[in-house]
Amino acid sequence: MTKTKEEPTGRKVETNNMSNSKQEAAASSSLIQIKDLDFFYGSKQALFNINLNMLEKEVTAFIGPSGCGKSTLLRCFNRMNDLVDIARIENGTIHIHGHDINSEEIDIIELRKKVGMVFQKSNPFPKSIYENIAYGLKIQGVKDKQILDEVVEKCLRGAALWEEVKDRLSENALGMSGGQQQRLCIARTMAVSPNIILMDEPCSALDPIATAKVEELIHELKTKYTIVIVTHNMQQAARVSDKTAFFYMGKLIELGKTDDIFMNPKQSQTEAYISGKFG
Amino acid sequence: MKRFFDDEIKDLRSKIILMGDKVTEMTNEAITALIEGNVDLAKKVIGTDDEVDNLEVEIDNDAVRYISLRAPVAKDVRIVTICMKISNNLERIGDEATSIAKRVLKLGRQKPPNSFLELGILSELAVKALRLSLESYIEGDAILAKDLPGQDKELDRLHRKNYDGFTELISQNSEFSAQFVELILASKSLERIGDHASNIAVEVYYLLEAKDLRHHGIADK
Repeated sequence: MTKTKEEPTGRKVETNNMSNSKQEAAASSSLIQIKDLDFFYGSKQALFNINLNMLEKEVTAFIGPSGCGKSTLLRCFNRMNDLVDIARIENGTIHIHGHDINSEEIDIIELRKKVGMVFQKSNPFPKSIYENIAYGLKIQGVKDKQILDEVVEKCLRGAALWEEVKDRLSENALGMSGGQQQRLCIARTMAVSPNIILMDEPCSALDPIATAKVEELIHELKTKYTIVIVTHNMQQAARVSDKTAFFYMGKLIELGKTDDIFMNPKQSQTEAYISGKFG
Repeated sequence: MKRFFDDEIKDLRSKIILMGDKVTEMTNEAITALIEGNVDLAKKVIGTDDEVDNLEVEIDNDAVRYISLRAPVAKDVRIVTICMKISNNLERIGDEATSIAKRVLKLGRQKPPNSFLELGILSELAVKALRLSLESYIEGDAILAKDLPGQDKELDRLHRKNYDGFTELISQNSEFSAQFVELILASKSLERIGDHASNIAVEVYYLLEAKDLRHHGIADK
């Protein structure tokens, strides 16, 4: 049963709280399940009671103003926050493929292979284009040149980059354009066969053409991968995602189909934010 | 560069063309039903109106979705907004064809004497205007779109002639007055179909050239 609450304006709105049976049904088919998550940086709480499920091979966009906790939540999925001393999960759980990723048995290296990440600023290794893709496999012990060649081509094709770089694979990746570097980083992520790709503002440093190419790539990748993207670009969220989650001050305000969020959001805060009236 | 949502624009265009086909067929059949007193054909026209209404709603929903999610600009935004305007005009043409068909049901198989005056030529011109307006959209023909609105004066003249003629006939044959009133209203529907065809052409011209012909081009003065 959907709950309703009355806003100060008197408008009655549905909240995103689902009944237990609906939550259980959604959770059972979800690849990523977040339950009652509270997250702190030192004494400052950054995330409040987050409950969220994400389905396999869907693109979910996290939107919200700076400091709302969307990147913090994204980094929880591959435990990148472990690298921050004062960061801690106080309550709640995150399950991926049914496994609690914060349990002691979880191998973080394995987790990060399955949950790849693409950052705001492209960060290719100062190596050749070929080595950027092959590197992850090589440190896993793959030495067969034929296998490496196949994976490099497959990933570069998957990232819609093969035709542009196939004749200069030995050139330094730092000589590529910004958009090509970002697609190379996506290809590099794909090389270690992840299930999930996290993208933290992947186009914020790119021009419109390079952005369009990455968006096109996201559209193609979702047939194989589950993608979570943090973006400040509302139009990008609207274009590329199946679901959108709006965060504000560490709270998940609204989660829904992207069509619904951008055409008829239930929460007035969501509507104000996506309309640019926030503040 | 092709974008992954370009097909959504193509779908919108296909729905407009489908809707155009349907209302053209409805108009032709309504006229045939009127001339031949074909009640069954009139019922068929009336039955098609819901399909046209549904297409209008679908096109509006698709267009609103596209504007909300794809952030169109320049020609893209004209394509989408013009789809909504064209579909609205087509829906009104469907209503006019349905209105003619309903008059056929009222007239039944009884034809008044000297009955049709200029309805035949008015019908031909109304259907021609509709066909040309759709052709200008499908072919992207700006010259055709620009020329079309001026041609509806002839339809206005013929309707006025019908109005005067049927009014005269009513005074001479009062026993047929109800039938002649129906024919005046059918004539008005045909004249309105011509108006909506002109509106479509104006919208097509704006789509292609970004110039507004409405109200004698007042926006560009």
